[in-house]
Amino acid sequence: MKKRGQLVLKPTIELVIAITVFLLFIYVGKTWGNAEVFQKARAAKETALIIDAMYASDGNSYITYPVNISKFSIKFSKDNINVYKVTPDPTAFTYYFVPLGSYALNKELIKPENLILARLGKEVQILDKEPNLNAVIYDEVSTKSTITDKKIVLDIEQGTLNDPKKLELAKLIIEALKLQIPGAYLTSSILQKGISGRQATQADLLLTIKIGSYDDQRNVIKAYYPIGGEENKKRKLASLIINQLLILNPDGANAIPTEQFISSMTSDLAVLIEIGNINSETSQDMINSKPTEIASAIYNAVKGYYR
Amino acid sequence: MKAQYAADTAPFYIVFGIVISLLFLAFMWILAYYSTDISKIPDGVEYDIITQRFLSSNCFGYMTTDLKLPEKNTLDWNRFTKENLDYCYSTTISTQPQFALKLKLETPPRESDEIKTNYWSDNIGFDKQESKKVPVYYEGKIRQGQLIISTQWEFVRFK
Repeated sequence: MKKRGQLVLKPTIELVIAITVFLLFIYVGKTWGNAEVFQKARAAKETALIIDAMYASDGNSYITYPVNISKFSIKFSKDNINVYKVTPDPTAFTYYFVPLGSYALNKELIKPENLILARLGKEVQILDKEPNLNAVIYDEVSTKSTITDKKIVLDIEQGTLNDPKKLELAKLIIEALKLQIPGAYLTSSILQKGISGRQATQADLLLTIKIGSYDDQRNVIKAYYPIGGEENKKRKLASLIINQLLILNPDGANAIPTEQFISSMTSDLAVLIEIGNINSETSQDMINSKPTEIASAIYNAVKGYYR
Repeated sequence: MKAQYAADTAPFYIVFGIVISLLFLAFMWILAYYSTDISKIPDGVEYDIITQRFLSSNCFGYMTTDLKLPEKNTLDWNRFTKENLDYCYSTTISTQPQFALKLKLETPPRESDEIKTNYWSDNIGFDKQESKKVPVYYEGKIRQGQLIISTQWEFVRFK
């Protein structure tokens, strides 16, 4: 003999399933009828194409997706984009793009007002505001330490030392840096009684100044850091320096890993900072008029690195 | 009396659950099948965008020694490696387009090994092949070359 509760169980389950199926059909019918299925498919395909296009181009760029998709949510995974309205959504749409290396976007935007896709450095990122395209992106690694304990050495690059015009400009920056960082050491190439190259290699941080040389009038800023070791930390410092120096409004800026200049960058943490172009009047004016701002920007970056 | 409630037994619910789940999956599959083509990317656009990646600095693009902006659409012979291809075209599923690439130089006559993306299948051949004329940086000079791109696209694209 069955109890009353057991007798009503079957029709209850059937009723629940019937209602679920009915609502499912209503929802699917509505989303096809009001073209939401099309809008989801379009958003997923277009954003996937934009990401593929950004990986195919060089340099930094961004695009604000021009269609209002605030009634949907978007989930970016390693290699696909899923556009949906509710969870679970029987008419959600997924489209694939080809990722770069092991980088994964992994971001979910719930009914976003804006969708900005940006290529900054090598990777594509999903942002909610327009980025500074000259800013250099780096890994957020912990480099916290006490700056006062650090032995910081200032140096001038060999090619700059050998060119009197460049040397004059580089010295302006070095003198301003020495005022910003009173405890910093100078190498013997700058100061007769400065520390030797060998001692410089034992520094906690070696900052080398270079004045660039290009045939055209480009006023560029670059921060070279040595390949190998804890490279993401070196890149972080180089990137912080570049991002601080953007106040100078250069024509171009970048943080660059390099095997060049390795002889002068044997210190564990070293950055070769190339500022301006000796053949550009804009560069010369910039260095002549703003050595303190340049030094201050570099020191702020160093402080930011150890913070 | 017992026969009247036979359907209330556990096996009934198990079979019922499986059938309902299969019907639901079939319904979702039919929906997905029709919604895939509801918006179409014009023919060739996606192919052009994806293959352009091979010319970029993320893949085989040549960058000058002081790492200035890359020379547009110039390939670097030394960067034409399987390792670089795996990095810049990191397919994670076999249903994405697959490529096999070969680089040739006119002078001096050189031909690279063919390099293939992760899920390239040697058994099914290619459904499209094109040869792009590209400048190639080789032994300190920029020379004329050809990038031969074989594609497995229709076979695998989002089946």
